[in-house]
Amino acid sequence: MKNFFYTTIKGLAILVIIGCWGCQDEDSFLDKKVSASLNEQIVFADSAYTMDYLTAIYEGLYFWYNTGSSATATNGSWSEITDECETKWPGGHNVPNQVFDGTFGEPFYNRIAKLWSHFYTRIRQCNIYLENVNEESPLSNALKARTKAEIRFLRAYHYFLLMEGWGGVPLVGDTIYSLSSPNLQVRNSWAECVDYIVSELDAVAPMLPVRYTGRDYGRITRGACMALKSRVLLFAASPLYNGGSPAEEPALKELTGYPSHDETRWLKALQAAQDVVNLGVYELKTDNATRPGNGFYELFLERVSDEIILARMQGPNKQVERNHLPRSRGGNFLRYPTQELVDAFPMMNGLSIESPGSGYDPEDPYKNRDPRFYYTVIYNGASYFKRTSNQMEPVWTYKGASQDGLKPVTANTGTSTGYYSRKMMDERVTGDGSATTDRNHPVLFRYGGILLNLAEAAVETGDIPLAMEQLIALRRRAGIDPGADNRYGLPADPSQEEARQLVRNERFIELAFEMQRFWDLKRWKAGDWLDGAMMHGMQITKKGDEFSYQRIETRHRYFKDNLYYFPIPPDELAVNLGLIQNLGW
Amino acid sequence: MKEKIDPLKRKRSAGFSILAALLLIGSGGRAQQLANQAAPENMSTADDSLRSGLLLQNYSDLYPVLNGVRTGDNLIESTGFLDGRKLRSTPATFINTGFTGRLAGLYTHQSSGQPGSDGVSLSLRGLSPLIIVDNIPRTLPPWSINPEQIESVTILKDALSTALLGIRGMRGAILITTRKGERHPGFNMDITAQAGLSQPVELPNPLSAYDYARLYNEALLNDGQSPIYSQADLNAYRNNSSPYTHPNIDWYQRILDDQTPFNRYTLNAEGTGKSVHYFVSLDYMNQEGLFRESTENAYSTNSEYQRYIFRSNVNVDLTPRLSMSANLFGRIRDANEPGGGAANIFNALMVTPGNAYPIFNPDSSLGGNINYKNNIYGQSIRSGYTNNVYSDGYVDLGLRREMDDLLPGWWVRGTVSYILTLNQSINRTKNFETFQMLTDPATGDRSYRRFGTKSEQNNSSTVSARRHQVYAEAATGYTRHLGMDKLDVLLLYNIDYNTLNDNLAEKYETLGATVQYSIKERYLLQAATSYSGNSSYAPGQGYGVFPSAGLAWNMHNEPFFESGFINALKLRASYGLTGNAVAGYFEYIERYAGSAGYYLGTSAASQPGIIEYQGRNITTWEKAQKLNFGMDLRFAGSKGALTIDYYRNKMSDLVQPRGSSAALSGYGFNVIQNLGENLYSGLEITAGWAERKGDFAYAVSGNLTVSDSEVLFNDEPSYPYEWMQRTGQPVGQYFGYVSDGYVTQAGGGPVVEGYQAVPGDLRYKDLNDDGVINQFDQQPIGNQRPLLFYGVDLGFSWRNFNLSLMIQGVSNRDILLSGSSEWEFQNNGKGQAWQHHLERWTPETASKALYPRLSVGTNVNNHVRSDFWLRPASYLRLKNAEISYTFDDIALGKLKVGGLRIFLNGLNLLTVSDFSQSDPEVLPGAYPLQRVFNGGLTIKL
Repeated sequence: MKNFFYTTIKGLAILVIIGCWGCQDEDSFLDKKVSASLNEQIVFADSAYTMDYLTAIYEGLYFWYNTGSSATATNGSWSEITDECETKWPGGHNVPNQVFDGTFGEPFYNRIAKLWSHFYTRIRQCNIYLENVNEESPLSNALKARTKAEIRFLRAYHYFLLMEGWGGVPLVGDTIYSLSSPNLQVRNSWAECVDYIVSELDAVAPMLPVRYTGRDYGRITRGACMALKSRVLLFAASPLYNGGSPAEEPALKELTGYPSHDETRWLKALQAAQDVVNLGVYELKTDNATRPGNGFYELFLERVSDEIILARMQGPNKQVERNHLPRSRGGNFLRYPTQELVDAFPMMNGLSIESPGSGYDPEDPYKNRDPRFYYTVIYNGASYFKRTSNQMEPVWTYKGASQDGLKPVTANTGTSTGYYSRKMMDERVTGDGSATTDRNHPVLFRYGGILLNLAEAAVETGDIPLAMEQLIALRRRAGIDPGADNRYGLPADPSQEEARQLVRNERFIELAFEMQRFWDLKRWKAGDWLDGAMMHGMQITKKGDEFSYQRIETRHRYFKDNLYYFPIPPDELAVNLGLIQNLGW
Repeated sequence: MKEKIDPLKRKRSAGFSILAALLLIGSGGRAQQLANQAAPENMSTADDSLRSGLLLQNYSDLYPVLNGVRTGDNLIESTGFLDGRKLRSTPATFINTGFTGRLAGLYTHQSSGQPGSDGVSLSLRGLSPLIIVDNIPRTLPPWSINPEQIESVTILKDALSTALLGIRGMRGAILITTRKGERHPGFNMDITAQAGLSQPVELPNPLSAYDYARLYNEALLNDGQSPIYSQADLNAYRNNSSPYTHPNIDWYQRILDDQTPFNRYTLNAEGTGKSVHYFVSLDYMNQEGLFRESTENAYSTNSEYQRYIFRSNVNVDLTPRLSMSANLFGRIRDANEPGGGAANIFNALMVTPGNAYPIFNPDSSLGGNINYKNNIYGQSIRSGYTNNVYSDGYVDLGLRREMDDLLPGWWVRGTVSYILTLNQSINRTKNFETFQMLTDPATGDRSYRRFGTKSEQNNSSTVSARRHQVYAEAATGYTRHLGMDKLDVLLLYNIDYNTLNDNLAEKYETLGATVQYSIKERYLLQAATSYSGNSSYAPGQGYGVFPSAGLAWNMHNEPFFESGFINALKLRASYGLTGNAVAGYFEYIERYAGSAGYYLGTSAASQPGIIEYQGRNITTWEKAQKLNFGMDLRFAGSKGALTIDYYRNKMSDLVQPRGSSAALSGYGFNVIQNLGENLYSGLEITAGWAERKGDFAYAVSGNLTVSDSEVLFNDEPSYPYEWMQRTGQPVGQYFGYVSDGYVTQAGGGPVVEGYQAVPGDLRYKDLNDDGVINQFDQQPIGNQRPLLFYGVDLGFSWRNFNLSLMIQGVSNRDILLSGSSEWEFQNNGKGQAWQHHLERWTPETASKALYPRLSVGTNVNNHVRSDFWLRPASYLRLKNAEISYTFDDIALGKLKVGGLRIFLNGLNLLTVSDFSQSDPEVLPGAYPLQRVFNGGLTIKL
């Protein structure tokens, strides 16, 4: 019996020894022994990782797909549903075509859902930063304060992008949801969202420097806070949101704008724009010595600029050239400026093409135009660098021209309007070459835009001379002839309505392709005007060396009430049953 | 106690050996372990055959289960058995091809016929089973081995049978037991040589160049564009009058051979001595591929598969109580393929029209043009070759001590295994150039435009995967008879380290126990539990307990049971909780990861970014509650047998993307999470009958499986329409539009929103009547009935002749057609068109058209998922047949051999299907399914 126990114990001992083979370390058997990977604790316990985390949020700065990211390349951009340009892509799976048809199918909903989810993901990332950069963070107190202010700006910016799209949206505050915790929330009213963003911006602006140098250049400045505030308050005062929401149900009306109109909102917008001007650190990039309007051209080609307030910072690139140049310049020709945009540019003397004495010649329509036109649109005969011949050469868009000639609206092989875009491009850079430009792209806020905010608010508050002053500044920089009266083609004493149209037209051409037009048309509540309108192009026929010009129709536009606000993604509604859907979806 | 059934009278007749193989039905027995098997495996006795063929033929026979064997009477688990000898008549490189139709509950699907990749995918009660060889879950690919080394295959279906697998038991398991040479006294050796031919069962039917061009013109006209082929072009295609400018090439015929040889040689030796038993197997196999070769190469450009296998299983009794086993396995698989890649070439064969380019230009250069730069002949002959060598092997060492000197019935065992895999790829590819011939219309001068650049042959090698696995296990067991009762206890502990390339090892750890108590051989109770963990989960969250229990009633052992027509009846039930570890490689800890950088600074310098990683959030293992009821029956003097199993497996925490998610949380929409709940249920029936009358014997066995599933929960949004709901539908149900004939006038409909219809386009049902066809009009399409599959095994033997037939089929199966093999002129108009496009819609054939109007490129209305493209694809196949003749002891000159068997067998011989366009399993574009004819002889020395 003794032997039995002895052997039993021996047998069990063997088992235990084998069994504990894996447990001999301090960790249990299954634990990972070596870890180079990251988690929340590791990231926020390390100052370099913490800054990398912040950097990634900058990297996510969003711009509504408007300049041709890869998503746009096959699917169109918001710009193409306005009167700014025509879409390249025919067919019902292209988002702009879905809008024109009023069909709004899966590609449209998918894009909406992607935007909605992207913005809330960024807001979550901001909140994680705010929570984790606490007393235990290794950052210096000064850096903590500054970076948290940057983060709070970025969070406010993403909220504003949500508001542009949907109106009032749920404000999650500093909450960081877990996947298992309930995340049901209702929409906050438009007024609450505006107040929240403005109070955040007011709070963080003083904590941020006016300028950065060296490696920090491009971070959020005090000016960026003030510029965003100017934009938010411009929206808040604009017709759609200032009591003009098409929703009739009180609950929805309050979510999609202020329930009633209030003129004083324009005063706030005026003050916010004036504050940016008063900051005194920005100026219009001006150079009319090299050639008229050269400052307007070079503004988009600079890495360090006194006009740009905030941009998405990139390394040297040729993104805009590759996306939009015509085939002969190695580009993907993703959008075609409309005749409507071309016609909106005044003449070199500042007079609109319809004005008597403007000098506009329908048989030579591109002659003597506002210099900004030449930096915005490639027209028939416009000169642009060609890589293969290594020199400036004309681009031919007349009907039948090889490569870049006019194509039917149903094709996707070239322009359907007779125009290509060249806004923000470096004319030495083509889509097919290796040359790039070290620039900021895209620009999110620039001083020129602030002056237009100021001009618009000035018109609405009745200060017409102040408004005209801003337009003159922009036109002077644009290289327009001052004229004998030094008014750059502007009338001496316009009515409020005339001034309003002048400001809106100036905004259209000055900020063309800068992701503004769709949002401007929305806030101006211009749907009634645009809905059903036919867009135009220019069919140019070549006979010998002569060209003849004929306007042609392209596509109808759609801008019914439902387009003022995007639909809340159905998947989100299914979970958050308390969310109220926008009108017409 | 009731009388044991008399063992069948033993009569040595090698002629029945094939019957043996025939009779080994699905859930059936594996009797030869206890039988006196003097003959080598290939020539087992008729008695064995009959006994092994019938379910529960002898309740004292031993059946391998996980970590041991059980007698039939003691079997409570739901299992299925297949005798290894059944696999030998299947001439395929992957032995699991032989499982098809032979095991109830195990669904197989073959998707390629390529040598070295011609195995089937397996689905056991809806999930892909874990593969276990000699009780160890192995990471090395198990199926490419010679069938002679397989003693038996056991499938473990219910929770009780997989309880000791712990956290990886949920998917069920296939347990392979290799031959050990037990009960074969002396030295036994046999040699088999076989050779065969394989040929594609079916190749796609492309259009001739003339029909292609004609239809292309028609498609362009349909799309509102001008035709590109003139009447002169069409005539040239029809008359083959200008083969260089107007080629008409049947690519399949030009690039592929009609058939290809296959041969295999194997030597097996086994025996049992005084204190040793062993099994040794050597095998060589060579399977050529279908690609034609050229004498211009000094090397092979075919897809060729050669395999060398060595196995040695030795068991030595070191002392009367201590025995040691050493199992060695080594394998080299040497797979050659053309430099263009076999899969690429098959794709090119599918997508290249017959008029794309001439293979050769008049100056003998390879043809090509801007749209088709990769001449297929160039890809197969002038691209060199790639050679993949997969070397793997393992060593299992085991020690077992009977502890009956201390406590009768007690034993202890330790096992260690080391498994190594090394995959090496040798790149000897090269690039070729193609030329387009251009003829000056004025002068008739020819010039050539070149595409691509010729290159020297590469010569590099890479190690594509290194994997090693260490497995160690300690086990102890105790068996005690208490009068008429019996107690069986097993306790084990194992650890398993799996290391892939430079990763840290993934580890499993399991502590498990099984207790079985049998009362008077009538009532059986069994409980099994494991405590098991996986290292991919967060610390403290990787371990779970997986309990299960079962009971059975051997009614035939009751005193009241009278053996009449029914000879034996057992009822059994089991229930348990199982788990499936699915976490990714240390994902729990890698919640943050590097992301795209950002260019801050006055001079551009990228600064790195770090973001929260959100794609997956797997916190626990998948779970299943498995319930199983079974019945085993023998009747008519044990000539007939029947087994029925019913199961109901409720799964939860299945890893899926969320059907809905509040993006407000900042987690986006489609996070992979533990959330799905599915229900799988089914019925499995196996029946067999075997009888011998004088010199004639026959056996019939069949199995039928009905397999159903239902999505219980997938967290999907509450869709506005009931028909959009996935919940309640079978798992993997197709959803799409419902086609409703053809559009009859331009601009007609309803069609996909935004699409301008022309006559002959598909029209869809507007389910919600809102005037547009969009995602709200997609509903379940095709079959919603449970999958049904079955197999029938027939065997006949007369004197020394044997014939076996294996027929297998699947019902309630659909296939969804899409892509270049179904749709015309895909790939922006560069793609191929097929015979079935001749049945297209045209104004004249509008009433009987079988295909919508043709278009060039992808048509956003017609080429979307709808029931139009869903075809029933039930089929019935004569999967396998063998005829053989056996000579008893004969003398070859002075050499006297123990026996000689001559056989002919075949695979995929005949298929009947309601899907006529191609083979119902292997679709066009893949390496085609092979029909194999094979013959050989076995000599017993």
